[in-house]
Amino acid sequence: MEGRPLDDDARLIDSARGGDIEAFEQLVARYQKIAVRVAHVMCGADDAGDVAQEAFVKAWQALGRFREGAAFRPWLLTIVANEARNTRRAAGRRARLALRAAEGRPSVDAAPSTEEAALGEERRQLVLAAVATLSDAHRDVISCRFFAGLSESETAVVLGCRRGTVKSRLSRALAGLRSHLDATAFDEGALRA
Amino acid sequence: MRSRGHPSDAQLIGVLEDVGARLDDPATPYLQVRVRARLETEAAPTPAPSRLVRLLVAGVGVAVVVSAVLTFSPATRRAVAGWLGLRGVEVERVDTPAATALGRDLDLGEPLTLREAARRADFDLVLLPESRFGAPDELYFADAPSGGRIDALYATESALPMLLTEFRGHTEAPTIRKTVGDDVVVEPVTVDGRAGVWLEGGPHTVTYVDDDGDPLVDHTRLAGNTLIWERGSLTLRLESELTKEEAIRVGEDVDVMPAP
Repeated sequence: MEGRPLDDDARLIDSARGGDIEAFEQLVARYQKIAVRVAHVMCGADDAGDVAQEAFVKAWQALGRFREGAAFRPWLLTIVANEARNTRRAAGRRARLALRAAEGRPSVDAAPSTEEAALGEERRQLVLAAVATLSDAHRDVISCRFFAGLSESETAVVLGCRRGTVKSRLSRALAGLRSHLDATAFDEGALRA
Repeated sequence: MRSRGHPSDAQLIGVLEDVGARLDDPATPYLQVRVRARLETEAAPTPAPSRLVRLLVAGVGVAVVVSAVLTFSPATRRAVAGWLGLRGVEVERVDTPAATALGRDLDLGEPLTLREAARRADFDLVLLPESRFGAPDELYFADAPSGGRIDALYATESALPMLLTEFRGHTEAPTIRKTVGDDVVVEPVTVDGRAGVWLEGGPHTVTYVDDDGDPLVDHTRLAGNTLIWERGSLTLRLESELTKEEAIRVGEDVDVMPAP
């Protein structure tokens, strides 16, 4: 999380509302990473950059409607999420999340054995495949909460629902995932048994 | 304890968070600059190029003829001398060092900012990978060839900067004519699946021939090694001290900044 004092955001937003592009540029620099992540998990890597760019432009245009004293990040991410949903609707497809370069990245943890690494990879791919079977609403809540790392309350704002709805959707989404997955691959002793 | 037959919520959440930690977001080079360029357009709309101009530019194909020469052309000599003089003489003569521009004396055209360059060029700007080289230190725009030419200069730790030149054009393989001097290596290479030429060992002139057959003679600015290759409708030239392998890797890893 690009943690910055909210009053600093407020100062930049105030200047940006007066037409100060440089102030807004600082907000872009501050939040572009999370904006791209949310776009990525909601509509896929190919469109994530364009979606984030479009969302920032729309945020600029909508600054007049930004409620004074509110947090900028969830407000911005709501625009990103809307833009991502529109894009995937127009494209008629969902995000395909791939663990691309990450698998080649050396682990900083205590070096796992080859078998453990293979098991971890298998679990992740199984879970990703199961997430792909969920409905859009369940998938979005999983993506925002766990892939983008948003809090429950932020997820609620971004997806435009109540916090209780996030909780119940999460619970149902996890149940949906469980039903698709066999415990065998999740058993810590799977390979040692 | 896990439930019988299926993983527990805690196990699932652990793996979901692990997936999130390993997701590799797509690179979004120059997002900030692109957003800013859009906002400036919103604030003060600039007239788009006329349809006629765009049609004319689209209709011009540019072929490249490379000829390597043994000796410094007068223009190259001027460029190299100017470059060397920049580092030697001025330091002794002035009390307060003047701000020196990398591209001064390189005959590169009109200096401009990244945002202006993205607006002026009639194509999506190609830049060296930002993650490795940062943003260009200086940018220049020239009217010729048709559609404009952009030169991006990057300061390096050595005396020679890197220079990326780009313009709209395409090369038909048979039209690449090479005249090889004794001390110049001219080697066909492949960059990202497209034909390219590697020149190493001495200054050379590059002659671009447009569809009308009119030659536009250009010369190396820095007398470094040169990689010329195509990308989409663009012809690119990178002058640097990079080795052939390094230059090709950079050429395959460029960032593209869409026109605002």
